[in-house]
Amino acid sequence: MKRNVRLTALAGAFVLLMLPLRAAPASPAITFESNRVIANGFHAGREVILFGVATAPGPYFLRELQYTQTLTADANGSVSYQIDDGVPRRSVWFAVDSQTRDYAVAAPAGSATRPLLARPAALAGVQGATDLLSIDAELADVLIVRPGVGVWTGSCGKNSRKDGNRGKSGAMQLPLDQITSPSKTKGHPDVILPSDLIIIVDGETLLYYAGNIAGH
Amino acid sequence: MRHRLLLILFVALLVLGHRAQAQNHPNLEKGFAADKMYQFGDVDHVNLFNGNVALTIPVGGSLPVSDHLSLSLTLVYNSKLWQAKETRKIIADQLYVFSKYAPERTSNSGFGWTISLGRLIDPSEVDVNKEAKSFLYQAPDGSESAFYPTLHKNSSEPLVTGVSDPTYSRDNTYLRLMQAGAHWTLESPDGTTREFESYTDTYTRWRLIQIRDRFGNHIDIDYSTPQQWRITDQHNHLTIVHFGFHPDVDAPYHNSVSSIGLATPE
Repeated sequence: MKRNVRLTALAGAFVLLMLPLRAAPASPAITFESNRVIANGFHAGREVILFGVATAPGPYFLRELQYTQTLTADANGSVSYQIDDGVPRRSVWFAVDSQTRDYAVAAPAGSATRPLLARPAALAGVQGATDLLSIDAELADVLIVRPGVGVWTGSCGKNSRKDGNRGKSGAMQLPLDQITSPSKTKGHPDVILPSDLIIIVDGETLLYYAGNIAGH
Repeated sequence: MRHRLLLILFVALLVLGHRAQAQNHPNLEKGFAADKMYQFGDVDHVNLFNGNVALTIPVGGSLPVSDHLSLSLTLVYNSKLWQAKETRKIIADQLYVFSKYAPERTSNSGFGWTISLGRLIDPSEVDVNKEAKSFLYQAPDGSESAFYPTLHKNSSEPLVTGVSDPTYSRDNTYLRLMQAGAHWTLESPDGTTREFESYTDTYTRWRLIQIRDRFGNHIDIDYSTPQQWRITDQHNHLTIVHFGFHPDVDAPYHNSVSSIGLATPE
């Protein structure tokens, strides 16, 4: 009996000693190497969504780039993503914890992060259609993270075929059925929930909005 | 033997010609270049290679400032109205490529129409800089010249003494772009210098503040009055280009030239 108590106390002490090693990670952060984006500060084993929007020179025209990767954090809480052509100098990157929606945003040296896009509005779809996101931008690359449920991504240009407000004045309206799932989750969201993290980047100016539909 | 030499010469000319034009694709060229073929009308000319129709309408004639410098505004139309872009999406390691065309954004007097004394376009102005690699100079006729560290490709000419890091156009315009403090100066082969200062909206942009010749004669452009370009020469002749605000069109086209108040020569 005494031996069992001792063993229990020993096990308890061991657990207490180990606790600091398993403490909550620091806040997420993103760093850059010449051809690698590294995000750290996540829980080990957690799925992290890496979302990047960039512009880069093309042959005689501009190239707009969008990256969406679902990565698993290693034992140190880090993920990294290699870009063989190099990390575009003019780019903005987000790393989002798929369970908690904690996120980090950063841009490579020489580029700036500019959270200047207006908060989007959710509009009710008519006659059974999905809801729409009203976005005041010329171009929009969109990422929606619903913690523990799914990730969706899409893009739209003002007055493009996807724009529900095409040919009219006012902000573009992106129907949610135009937003698709990059990997494990299927389909598209029908409505926007207050818990959704919405990230919108203007693919040309790289101005962005990050937050929920209420602006938090 | 003679035929073979002629053939080699012809091929060499073709290759050299192609290299000289490589920085501005012939399919996309606007404006006028002295070494290209055009069909000329009264106010229009058609680029016989790419079909661009350009109209050039003088506004108010030429206001002489000196033997070497004068102010002349022209309303220019170019029919190359669409700017190609490529979107590459890399989603879960799968690459998706889309092409799209957007209306060009350099017009300031209606879609395709421009009044300008010359515009310097920063590499970061991705809405108007097609390649986003280097500075571009857009001449008043809409033609564009890109700049490179050396005048000729694959050469290592010595830098001009007393000038820090000049860049050159390679399209037979022989323009030289140099940084002068916080400003950029653009020198033409005839000695005309254009000076640009920066301002910021969404991007870092540059605007022309002075045109001068080698003899100190000058034209100054002042932007301190909203919605106006106030163009004054050294004889205090004032020309004002007025802009109107049009909220009913897309944001890049909100401001366009509404009228011009011309100076009267003495």
